[in-house]
Amino acid sequence: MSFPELPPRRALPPDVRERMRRRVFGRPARGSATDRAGGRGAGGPLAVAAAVAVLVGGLVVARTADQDGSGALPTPSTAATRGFAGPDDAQVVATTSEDLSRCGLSAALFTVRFDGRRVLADRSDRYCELTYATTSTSTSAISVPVGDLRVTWRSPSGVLVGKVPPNLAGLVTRSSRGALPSALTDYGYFVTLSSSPTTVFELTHREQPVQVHTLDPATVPDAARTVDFHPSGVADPAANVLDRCLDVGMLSSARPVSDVVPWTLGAVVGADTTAGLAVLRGPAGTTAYCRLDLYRAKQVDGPMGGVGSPADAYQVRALVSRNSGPPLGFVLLVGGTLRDDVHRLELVDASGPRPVEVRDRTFAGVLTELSSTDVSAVGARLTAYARDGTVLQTGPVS
Amino acid sequence: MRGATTRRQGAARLVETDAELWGRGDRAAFAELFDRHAEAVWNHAYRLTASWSLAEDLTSATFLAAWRRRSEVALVRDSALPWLYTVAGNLARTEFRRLGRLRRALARVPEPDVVPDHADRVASSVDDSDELRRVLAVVRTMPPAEREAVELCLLGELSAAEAAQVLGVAEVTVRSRISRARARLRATLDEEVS
Repeated sequence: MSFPELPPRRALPPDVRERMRRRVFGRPARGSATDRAGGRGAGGPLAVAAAVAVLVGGLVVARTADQDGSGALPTPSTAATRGFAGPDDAQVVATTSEDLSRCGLSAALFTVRFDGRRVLADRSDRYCELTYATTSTSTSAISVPVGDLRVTWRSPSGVLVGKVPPNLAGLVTRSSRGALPSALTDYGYFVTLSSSPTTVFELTHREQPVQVHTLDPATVPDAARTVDFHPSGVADPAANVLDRCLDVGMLSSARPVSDVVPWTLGAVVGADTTAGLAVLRGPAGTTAYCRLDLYRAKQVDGPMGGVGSPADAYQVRALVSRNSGPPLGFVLLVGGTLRDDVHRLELVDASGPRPVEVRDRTFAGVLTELSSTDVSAVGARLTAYARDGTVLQTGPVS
Repeated sequence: MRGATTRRQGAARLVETDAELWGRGDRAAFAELFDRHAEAVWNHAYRLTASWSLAEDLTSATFLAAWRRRSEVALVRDSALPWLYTVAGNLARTEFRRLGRLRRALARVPEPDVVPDHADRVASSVDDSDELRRVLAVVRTMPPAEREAVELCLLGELSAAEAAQVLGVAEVTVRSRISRARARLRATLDEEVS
């Protein structure tokens, strides 16, 4: 007999399958596997009820992707499904009461979703940007001309919002690396990610040459007030390290984190200083490394190298040196993963033991007040110990 | 492939593997993966939560998370199931716990925003769920590594090899964790009985 004894598996009732399908795909199955397998509807799960910018005969129009026309968002059942996960483009999505409430708006003309953020606008040209852990609202009216366009807001994360002339047939925005996510919405607005130092706008009018204009987003006045949002409902900074790291990670163009799940917090060191490091544990052994400044996430990166192999007791996957200014001076942040049998890790340099935290098979350590940012000159060593005190591995940090 | 056990029966045709569907990454492919594994994930989610209502939420959230991360994940042994189980386990431990729903459900306090599920009313065995809650209570006290192994191998009934690949450890390590976890479970549950 197996141990523990577990309840037998059940056949999935059709109504339960259909409810889950609606949540995942956003609309009922049309009754046949052919329909599902045929891939009708250009979007993927969660793209339903979103609107996408579709180029039709040179004209960019906003069209809802919900072919049923219900206009309803799939009901999110947890914060995990709240929709900060990244579409690779800009999507006009249905405005939710939760977003309106966070923004302090009673109604919105549109909501546009980008990687890690949503932007709302109302009829009074008030704008709002929601990220996983912040809420930003516009504080004053601005108007920066870009050809026939007018930029009316720049969000803290770099989203530009503005108005287009009635005769505009198409708009493409570009950085030096390629097209930027953008959308034209109802009521004559454009919303686009910007790129510094130059964002290129290509405006198409009917039967006219394409007009090309450039804008340095930094020239758009900063007119936003940002407040923290606590997804956990707890305002304690120490309790929000993971959420703030995920927030920054989702906003990063490098996309070290593309969703709030299934990431968990690993080892954290120096969170209450200007030189902290948090290790995030993701799916299938992946990790990300979040630099902290007084509990605030400043930058999130994926593994920045792979010193060692999975068979090693520890692997250094992040090694960051920088000048953090007084009082910590030059610092070296070191983070990585641990083998399961590592009970304790020691980080030492010429001045003695340094803070290193171990949690959930990850570690994070910090060396401060160094004479330089040259890692090889620091002379730090890591030593991994088993529970009985046996040294499992030791070596230089480089 | 384990996925075949939960696949809908249909006319004979060339069947794409999970990895092929995963690699395609489009909506139709993901719909096929949903059809193949929804039942298995739903049952696994029940074993993680001891509640059919929460299992439904957790299953939906698992597939949503899987869709979002499809480009970043390599499948284990051509089956999406180990990965889906891992996502479900992480979700059960993080988001669901954070929201307090899992804890409330385990405490059997009525959940005002969860509509009692038909399956709960007509098919749930009180004995089953009580026993499962006792097991889960012990599992939650285990070290993370053991807990993951238990969720995948004992609750999810994956092989040690499949769990080892998805966890990125040696198969013998998984077997060792399972052995320790079984001993821990047996000791704790026996102690409760005595």
